[in-house]
Amino acid sequence: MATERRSETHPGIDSYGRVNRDVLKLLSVPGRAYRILFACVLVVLAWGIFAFGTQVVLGIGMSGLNNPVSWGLYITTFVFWVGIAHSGTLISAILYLFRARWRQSIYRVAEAMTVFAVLTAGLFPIIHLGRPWVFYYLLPYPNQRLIWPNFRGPLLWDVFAVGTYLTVSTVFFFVGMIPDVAAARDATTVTWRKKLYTVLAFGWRGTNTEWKHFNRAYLYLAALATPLVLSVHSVVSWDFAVSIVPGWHTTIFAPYFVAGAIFSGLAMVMTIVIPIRKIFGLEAYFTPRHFDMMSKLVLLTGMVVFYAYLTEYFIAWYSVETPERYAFWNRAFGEYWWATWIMLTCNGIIPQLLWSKKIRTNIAAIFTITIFINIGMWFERFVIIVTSLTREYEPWQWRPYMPSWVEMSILAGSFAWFFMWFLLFLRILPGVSVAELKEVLPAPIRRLSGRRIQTGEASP
Amino acid sequence: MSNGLERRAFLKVLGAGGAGASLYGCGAGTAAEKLIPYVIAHDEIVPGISTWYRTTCRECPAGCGMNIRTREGRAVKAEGSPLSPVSHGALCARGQASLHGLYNPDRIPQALARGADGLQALTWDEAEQRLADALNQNRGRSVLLTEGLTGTLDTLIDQFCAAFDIERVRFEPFALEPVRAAHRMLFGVDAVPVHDFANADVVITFGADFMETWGSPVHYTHGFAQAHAYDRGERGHLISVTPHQSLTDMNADMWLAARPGTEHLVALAIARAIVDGGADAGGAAELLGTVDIDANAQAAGVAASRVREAAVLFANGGRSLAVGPGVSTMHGAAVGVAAAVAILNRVAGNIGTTVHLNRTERGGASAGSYAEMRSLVQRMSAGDVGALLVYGPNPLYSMPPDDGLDAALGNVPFITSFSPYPDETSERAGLLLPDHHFLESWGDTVPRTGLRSLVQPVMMPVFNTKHTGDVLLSVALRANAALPGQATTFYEYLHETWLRDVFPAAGGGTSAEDWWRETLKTGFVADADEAGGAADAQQIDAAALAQVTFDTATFGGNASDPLLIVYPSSKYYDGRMANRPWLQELPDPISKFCWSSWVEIHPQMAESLDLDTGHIVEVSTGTVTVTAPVWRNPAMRSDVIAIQLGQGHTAMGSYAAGRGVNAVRLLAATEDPASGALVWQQTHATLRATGDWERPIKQGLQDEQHGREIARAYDIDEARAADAGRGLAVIGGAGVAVPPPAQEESGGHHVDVHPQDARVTQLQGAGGFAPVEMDASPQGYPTEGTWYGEYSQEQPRWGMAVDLDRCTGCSACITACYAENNIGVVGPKLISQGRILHWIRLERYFEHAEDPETLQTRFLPMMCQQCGNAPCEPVCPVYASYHTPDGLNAQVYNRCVGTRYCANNCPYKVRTFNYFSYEFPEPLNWQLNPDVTVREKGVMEKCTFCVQRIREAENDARLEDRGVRDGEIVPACAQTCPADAIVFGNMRDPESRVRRVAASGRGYRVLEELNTQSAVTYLRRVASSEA
Repeated sequence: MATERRSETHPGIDSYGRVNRDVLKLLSVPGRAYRILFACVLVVLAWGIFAFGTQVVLGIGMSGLNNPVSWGLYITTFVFWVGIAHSGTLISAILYLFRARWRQSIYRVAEAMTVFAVLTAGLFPIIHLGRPWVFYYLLPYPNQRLIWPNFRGPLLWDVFAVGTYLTVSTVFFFVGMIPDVAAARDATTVTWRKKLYTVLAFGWRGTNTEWKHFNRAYLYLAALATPLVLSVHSVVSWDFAVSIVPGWHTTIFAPYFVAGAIFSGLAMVMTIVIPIRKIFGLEAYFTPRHFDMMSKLVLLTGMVVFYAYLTEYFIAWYSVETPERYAFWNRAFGEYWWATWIMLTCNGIIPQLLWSKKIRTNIAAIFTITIFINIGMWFERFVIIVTSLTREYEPWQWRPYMPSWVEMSILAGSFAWFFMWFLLFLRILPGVSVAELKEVLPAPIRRLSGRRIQTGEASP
Repeated sequence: MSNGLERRAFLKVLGAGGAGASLYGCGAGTAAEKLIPYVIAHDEIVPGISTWYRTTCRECPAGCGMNIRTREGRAVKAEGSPLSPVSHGALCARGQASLHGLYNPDRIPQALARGADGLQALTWDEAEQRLADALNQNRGRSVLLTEGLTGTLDTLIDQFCAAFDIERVRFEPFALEPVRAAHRMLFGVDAVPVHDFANADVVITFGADFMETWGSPVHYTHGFAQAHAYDRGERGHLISVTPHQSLTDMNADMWLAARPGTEHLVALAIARAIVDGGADAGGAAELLGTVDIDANAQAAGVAASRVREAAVLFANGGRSLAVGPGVSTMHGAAVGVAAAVAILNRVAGNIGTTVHLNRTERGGASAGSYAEMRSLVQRMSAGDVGALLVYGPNPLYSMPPDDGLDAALGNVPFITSFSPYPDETSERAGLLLPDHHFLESWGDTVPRTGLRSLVQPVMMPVFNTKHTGDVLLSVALRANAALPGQATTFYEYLHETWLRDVFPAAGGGTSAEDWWRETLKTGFVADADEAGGAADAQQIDAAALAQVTFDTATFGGNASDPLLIVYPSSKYYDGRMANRPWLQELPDPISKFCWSSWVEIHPQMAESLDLDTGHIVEVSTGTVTVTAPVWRNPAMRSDVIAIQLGQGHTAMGSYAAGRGVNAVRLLAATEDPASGALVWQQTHATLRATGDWERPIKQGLQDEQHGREIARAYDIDEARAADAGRGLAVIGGAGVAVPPPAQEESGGHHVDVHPQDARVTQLQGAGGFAPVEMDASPQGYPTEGTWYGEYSQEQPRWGMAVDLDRCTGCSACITACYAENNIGVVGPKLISQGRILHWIRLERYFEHAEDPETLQTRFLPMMCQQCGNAPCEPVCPVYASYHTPDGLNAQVYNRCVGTRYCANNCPYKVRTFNYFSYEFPEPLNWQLNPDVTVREKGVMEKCTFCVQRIREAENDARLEDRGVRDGEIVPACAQTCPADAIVFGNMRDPESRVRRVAASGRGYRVLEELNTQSAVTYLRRVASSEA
């Protein structure tokens, strides 16, 4: 009977064919709303590029940075996007290894988000350079002068950490997509799509041998990607932790940043998935159960983050170090108290609502909460970076910082850049894993009459 | 600078033996007026090698001896001449900025006539003809207005005036008329006496800002630091009696915040206390007999006990000196203050010891007075002046508006200005005959009695200008007016005069021309017995004293309003230096504002008005209102407000235009009848908040240390104990603070090994670091058992010692650093955004600001500390920030990509970032030091202890096959320090001066707890015991 033959995780999906239809429908010719949205995104992006252009031509003085505050919005946003990038790998790789079956429908979106977030994050270290045209000095390329970058420097570790993460997550993303792309290849009639899918499908035919190898490869890649979830943001945190800036120089930073990254990444996944689910009619794929599970994870990581906040304050007090104590006093009650309290409220207090099952399953409530978390996590980085720099050791060199229009434009442009990729992804690549989803659906069976209930026309 | 003579800089000083003889391409004539590249190389100009010329600074009347470094025919750096008895090898910020006068883009490029349709270029022939014609037409109706000149040009001008029947008027805003008047009345000496700060253990100043504008600031600062700074357990005292602290007063050990207009009551009370103690009243007995110490103290609003304390200190603290008044105490009773100061000096026995009546500033030459200028204005208004020639002063800027000069100038049909720069007065001139800058000129000056200092050109004129002396001689020739002598150029005239007047006394047996050449190299001639003239008058003229009124000064306006104090700027002098980009960029030593004016308000008053630094207020006296931002300043009385003079120019060029307000405009034309001076402090002013706030154009937004102990102090007992604890001898008695070298011989590495010989490559291959056995100095340098930044024991370790007890906060080091290191001028907007580029800054912290009795100002020059364990180095991803084998934190500008992590990680915040590319508009770019890269946007830059100087000295030593000698390398900041507060050298050499200075018990390193192993040792300021 039908009820007995429902998937545990995706009860709304009743057949393989429906999966194919729903997912491949996403790849059809976009409608008017999509085009308008895409145009808006491009306009914002163009504005951001223009702002960056003025900065390149005139100098990074177009930002609001000043002498004590050498890092501001750019590095804040860099860390923000790197953090966002974490949940993709977490959901696809770690949950895969843990055999969390509910991840099947959601991981493709999360992975795409990862890749695009890293693409976005990777721009910022270059944007924030005083001389971005010589960014390649940071790369260890062979040269006749035998000048190498400084391998002791955390910024160089960053180059490798982010570079590795981008590479691995991209490979993981594309490898996982092979069977789905093959299905799309077989279904499409549009020439350029056919060509694109043919390339990306790597000649996939769906043979048993291919499946065997594919599953192995996917498992190994998942295993490879898993440590990166921990390493990338640890390295990013060392950008700060290895310095001697009060408020940065602390050993808790690596776990604290990783937890924060997962926290913000999951929140971002939900923020993105909820509208998609609604707009594209994918309620059956992204079920309240998904949001319930992810909300639990958000709650857990949020608690870790909140604990880290408290630990920082405790250690600052416990250190009996004037600059250290002052840095934390200054965070809470100094010029940027509002940023700190936004951070504490959004990341510490609001997520506590998720203790309630009612809220965890209320999509609108979750959407609101995750928006708050996104804001809070951006402010967390702002608080750490900016308030610490405004008041360091030398009172004579204390000075506040406010972002300029260029920085705000580039921040907006970075969101546009991210969503541009995301919108393209939704229309070009299968946004839900057809193959993996089918694994959790009941296999199609024949009725007694011999007529197939469902037509599994696409055989992935 | 005791060993200044040894400096190779000195060896290279050349005398321009005649017009064009050794000076590159320079003729005093008119033929060559452009810089042209060499076709045939000049013998004495070697590309890449500096040529030094000796001359005398003419930026203020003090007349400091200068060495000018020229490269490839262009002046690139001004330094004090170590030989000069005025500059002692140092210069103030204004002297450093003389190059920005020379290369100022706003200079008047050639002779110009102002017509109905704007300015019209003239040839010098035409221009001189016009002047000659005008003078011929206006015989008996012409006036030549000059500042208080001395020397040969002064004589020539007098002769010229006689030949053309021109009346000569002198005018200078800071002529110190009350001081002259008091000494004229009391001692019959119509001059400002020479003050010997170097021999004064206790100084009391009644508003005389002798470190800034009063008299001879560099000379006085040098002397003051010598006598005052802590040395072997002893230290002088500075007492300040003033309602508002100038930079000088901020260095005081005791501040009596007397009510404005009552400073002389304090002086008389102190004098009375001294006389009560048995001192000879010297003619003032009658007056002092009427003085009631308690009543005077009460009238002045100062505790009588503190007045007595000051009297005890003044009488018993050793040799003493009282000075004053200065502009900030020049109110209606200024002559009373000056007379009281003179009496104080007399009763303390200072006449003839620290105050020399027989030797006077400028040789007693008149600097004119406000009264003379006023009477000229009246004659101009009446139409009695047909031609006005202005050489020097800018009265239209410096006189209160209701003097009516503006209208009076309209009544003068012919006005000529010789000013090299546009200014308010020259803007009204119909004929502009721009003078050479003094660095392009011949001349001489008499800084004080018995001293003549030569001015010689150091390079070709930058513009098509002409020396005013040449113009006068040429005009006289054209007009057939007979001048004594045969000279047709000013050089000939000067040469003639010196050979005639100076040579016979000074020359000895040598030939006149040899003597002249040698004198050009020395730069000055001093009388063997500088104390020429009559012996010091000792007795006060009691009859004249009876004429002096010692009433409290009265002030206009509403007494419930705050009193307006105007005071001179150490950067702009009387306003004449306002168009110098370096000086506008230089944070004011007092307020740290740049490029603007500000209104100083005591925190108490600010609190009651709810004003904070940056709030815009209107200050108004009568009909005039000015608008400026507030600065909350605890170093002033709470019932006064203060505005600095020197800004608010309307026609001085692009850098001064629109910057701040001219406080003189707030003053009424009020003359002090007793001295003929302008009454500077005259009225209460209303203060009104506009409600606006602007980001202050200010460097250093915090005036307090927040307990961080950046600038530290000891009281004198602690200092003695600390010195004693390190085995250093302290007084009382004989003894030296420097341990004999024998104690340190173990581990003392001799420095006579050139860095090139060291095994740098090998060591770098082995990982860069090599442990070093090092005899730790008492300062623990470097800490035993560590080897941070120590590549090799054969390498020197450059270090610095900064004596905070000598540093006066004058900020000359900052401008010197700009000049030496091609630091960009970022302008007001970027300074308000915190992007100033100075590599050395002067932190000025107030301690115990809540009570004026305990208020203490601490200055701390902060430059790169060249850490051995530098936080900036490991975080640079591209090795732009790296450690040199001799311990410097170098910065490779071409490698820098601008991550700015180094600046984040620098606890001292001494790295500055080029947020934009900064311009050096033609011809300011001529000043750029060819030895230092000009940085572009996106690059981090920083102090390197003037690495170009280090390398130059090392190369020279290498060529001579010897080691670098101690004292041979002097960074620009240390070189220009008038107080000799900065000592540079090799910390590894136990005999080096820096090592011995750093060994002081007062030594500490800023933020030492961060284990940065910095190379800069600061010596604590020694606070007076009462604070």
